[in-house]
Amino acid sequence: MKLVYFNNAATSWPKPSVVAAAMADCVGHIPCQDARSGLEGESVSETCRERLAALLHIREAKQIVLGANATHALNVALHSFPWRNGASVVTTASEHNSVLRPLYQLAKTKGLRVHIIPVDVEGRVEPEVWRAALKKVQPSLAVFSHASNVTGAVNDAMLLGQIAREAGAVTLLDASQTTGFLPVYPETWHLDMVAFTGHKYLLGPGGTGGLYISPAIAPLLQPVWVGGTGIHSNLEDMPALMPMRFEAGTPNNPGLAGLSAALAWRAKNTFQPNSLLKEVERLCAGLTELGADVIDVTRPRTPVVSFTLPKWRVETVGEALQKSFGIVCRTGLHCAPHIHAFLGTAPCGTVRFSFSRFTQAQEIDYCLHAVHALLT
Amino acid sequence: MLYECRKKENCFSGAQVYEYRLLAGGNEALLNILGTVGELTIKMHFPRPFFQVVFEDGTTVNGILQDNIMKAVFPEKQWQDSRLRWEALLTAILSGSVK
Repeated sequence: MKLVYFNNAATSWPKPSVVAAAMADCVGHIPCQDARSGLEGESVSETCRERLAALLHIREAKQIVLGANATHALNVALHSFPWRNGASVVTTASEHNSVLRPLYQLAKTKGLRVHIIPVDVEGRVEPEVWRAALKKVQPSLAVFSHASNVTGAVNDAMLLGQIAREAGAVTLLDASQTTGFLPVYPETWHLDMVAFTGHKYLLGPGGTGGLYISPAIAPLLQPVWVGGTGIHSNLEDMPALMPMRFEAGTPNNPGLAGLSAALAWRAKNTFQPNSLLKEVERLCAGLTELGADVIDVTRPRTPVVSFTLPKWRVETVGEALQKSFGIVCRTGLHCAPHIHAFLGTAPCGTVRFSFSRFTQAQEIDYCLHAVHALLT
Repeated sequence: MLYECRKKENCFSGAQVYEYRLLAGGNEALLNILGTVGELTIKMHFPRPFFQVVFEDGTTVNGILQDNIMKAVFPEKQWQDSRLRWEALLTAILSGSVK
């Protein structure tokens, strides 16, 4: 049975063919890594960094710290942050565990006060609720996602960042669900830190991601991921230079080669999300007509749809879709445990379809046909 | 051994979900018997027909017709008893003690 892949919010598939080719090429060649080998030549990580800087409109590529994924990036940001005793953080109920779990851990180990603000029925942060919380709490840091991985609702990151700045907070944006699908401009939006991943809409391989850190904030962070950097080996502390201050150890060069190739491919094969989003909206309308309870989301949004079916457990829907119809999707809480209380989908969560630029209209038709079969 | 069993994890730390892989053949004969002790639904109109059996204690078992893999979800309360009952039934059916 041919599989239809609707789990791109977890990891995108397929990837452009250049990705695997670049990874194989990297593994097949003598490694060339600045300061770690005597071989001079193009550095995979530096090329990747430059391409990311171009995409994110970042003036100095060295402000991008490369890592394993967005979870790694968020952990670097949150654990490196100079928390004072009694510090507070404001975050939202739509956050993923990659934000929440580091904060819970910091609450236990450093007494951090974590304030989680509600979201609306689409999973979106309401600016006035955000403003009120920030004014009341006066946090050291405000952390929020650009888009919900459960509903696809996109927040106005520039506005929320501005509100946080006005309240005196440093800002950290989780752009896992938007980088590569929608514009993400850390410097234009005056955000202090932005975490992103390589394996979702950037179409790179797993094991890649990064963190933008503004020039003003970088010197204030104390790295927690420390070790060999290839330079300044005589120092006990990590070098002050960016980005290696936050990049201990050998990077995932094959992965970065793949991500770099994906970025170059994307630059030559531009994509306008509108036609995909129209298909998403067609799917939502179709599901609703069939009797599904769809989490209705207005634009701006990503190509993610969450829903439940009457008389079906969400996990069983996923199993039936995959085993009987070959449709790969995700079910449950989606690692975002708090949002469901606001969507009306607690305690079991939702069935989630998430699409990519490669999703075809006939796959959407097949999806509607499958759900129709489940409901008859 | 008539089947292999392994626990499957999901979003919920308390969930008791187990996968059963029958070591000989598919599950059609098994289903005929299960339908007499639980509420059996078979979706024959699916490209690969899907079944689900719901037992009185809340245990649900589902899978694909003629496949050798089934998934059992035991109710969180007293799941050990539910699992023992299910496995005793499964063993009895597969060994021919129950026809």
